[in-house]
Amino acid sequence: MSSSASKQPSLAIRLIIAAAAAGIVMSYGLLLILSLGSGWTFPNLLPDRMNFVPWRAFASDRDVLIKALLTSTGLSLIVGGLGTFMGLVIGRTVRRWNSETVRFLIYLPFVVAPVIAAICLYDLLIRLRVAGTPAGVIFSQCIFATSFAAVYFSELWTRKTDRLEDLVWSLGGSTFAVWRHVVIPEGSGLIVVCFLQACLYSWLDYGLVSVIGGGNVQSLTLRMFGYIREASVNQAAQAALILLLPALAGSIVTAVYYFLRRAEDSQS
Amino acid sequence: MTSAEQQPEDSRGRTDLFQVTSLNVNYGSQTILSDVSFPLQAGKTLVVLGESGCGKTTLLRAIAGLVPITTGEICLNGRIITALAPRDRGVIYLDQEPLLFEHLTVAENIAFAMRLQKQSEQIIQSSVEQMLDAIDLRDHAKKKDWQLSGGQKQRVAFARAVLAKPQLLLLDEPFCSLDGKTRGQMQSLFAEISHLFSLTSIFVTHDVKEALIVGHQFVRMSGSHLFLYPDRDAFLRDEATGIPDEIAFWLSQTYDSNQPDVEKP
Repeated sequence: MSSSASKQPSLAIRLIIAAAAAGIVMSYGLLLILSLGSGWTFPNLLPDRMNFVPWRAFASDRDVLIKALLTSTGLSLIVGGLGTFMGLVIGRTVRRWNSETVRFLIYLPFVVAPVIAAICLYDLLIRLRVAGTPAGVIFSQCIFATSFAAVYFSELWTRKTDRLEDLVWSLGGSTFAVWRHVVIPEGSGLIVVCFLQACLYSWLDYGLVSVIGGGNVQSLTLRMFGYIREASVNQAAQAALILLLPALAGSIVTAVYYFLRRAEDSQS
Repeated sequence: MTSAEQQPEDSRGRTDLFQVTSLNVNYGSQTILSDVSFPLQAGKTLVVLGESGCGKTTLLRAIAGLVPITTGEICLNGRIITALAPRDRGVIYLDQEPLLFEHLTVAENIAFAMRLQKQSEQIIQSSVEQMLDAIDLRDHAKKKDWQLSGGQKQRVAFARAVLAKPQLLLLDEPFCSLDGKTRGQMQSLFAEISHLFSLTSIFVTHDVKEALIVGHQFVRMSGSHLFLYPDRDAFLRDEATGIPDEIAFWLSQTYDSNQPDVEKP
């Protein structure tokens, strides 16, 4: 058997990939149909009419849409950045301490559901005068993003990273040198992945925005659930499509990267 | 200033001593090093020989400040360094595997410690060029970690450590992952550069031939204890090192090969 043939995925793997791809495409396909169609009556397979009129109506409410988009983008970038940075510092500290108790403590925020935590935090946030503001939402989302990042960064370092860190200390380096020459170069891939996941968490969060934001922080998720409550099927599907755009972009980038790597491998 | 502080900073080529006294290292209830004491003359290489798991690596890491010691004292150039942070000890620890910074070129890796010490760029450039010639890697100066062989990486790691001008260099089986030929070259290079830069070093190995090529002073570790040999002859004569057996084996092979081989068809 040639080496290129041995690199081909097995039939089971191909079926799983095909099923996953079909699941993704069908979800987006259904949302697309819902966003374009109107007058969908039982038992028709497709809506009676499909055109861009619902999208034009959606775009006419441009100010609300742009505000929600900017709010969600701002929240996710800030929460992603702060959560990743704080999680990186905490995670590395936990790894260096190597204490079972501290390792247990960083999992604590996962014990409580985000909405319950938000209700518990609400009194504190009122006293801090940040309840119902973007700052309050960022604060509460950061607790969970930081916890996730701390767990992530406490586990995913290799023995090589520890040895490189020891080497920098041994050569007379400072903490800054350790970060500059070990943590950031060695962990760049991990940092990007963590940042994207923390951004996605904030982008898709509904519970904390609705409880802590108290309706004053109008993110895309809040708009989408608002449309669902109003039974505006087109607008809910349109908002959902916009919400899922980053995930779609991520899937496409991953797929393109995967096929490019396979093409490179087969050429080499 | 205390008398200790008046000692020269760089002991290389001088007669100052490095001294470990009653060093104990425990992990929980497990004793890794027990009452370890030895001196080391400046400009010399002390070879630590011993079987796997006897605490050789822990000894080096304890001296470098990378593992906490339970009791004992480490003195370098008359300065007690036991409680100092790794970066303040003037001691460099070289790992078993050559560790290079993947985002830096060979030349940048060699200059790494000098840049940390904020030396002038002119001095760095001339030192790096001199070192690249010494380790025969001038043509590879702009290459990255993944473009080098194991022996080349080890030379870069060694060069970087030498240019950091450590008061004491600790080498933990540095050539163990290299093939026989490259290992021989690296042993000669180490002996040559140690002499050229008058390095004071502790060299851990379990290869007696390597020990004899690079070493001036010899100790053997066994079961968390350390035995210091008074001189090279005592080291050669000790049954525990396996050297007498090795010599007897090769002598018998030489004798056998001189006999007529009557059995051969």
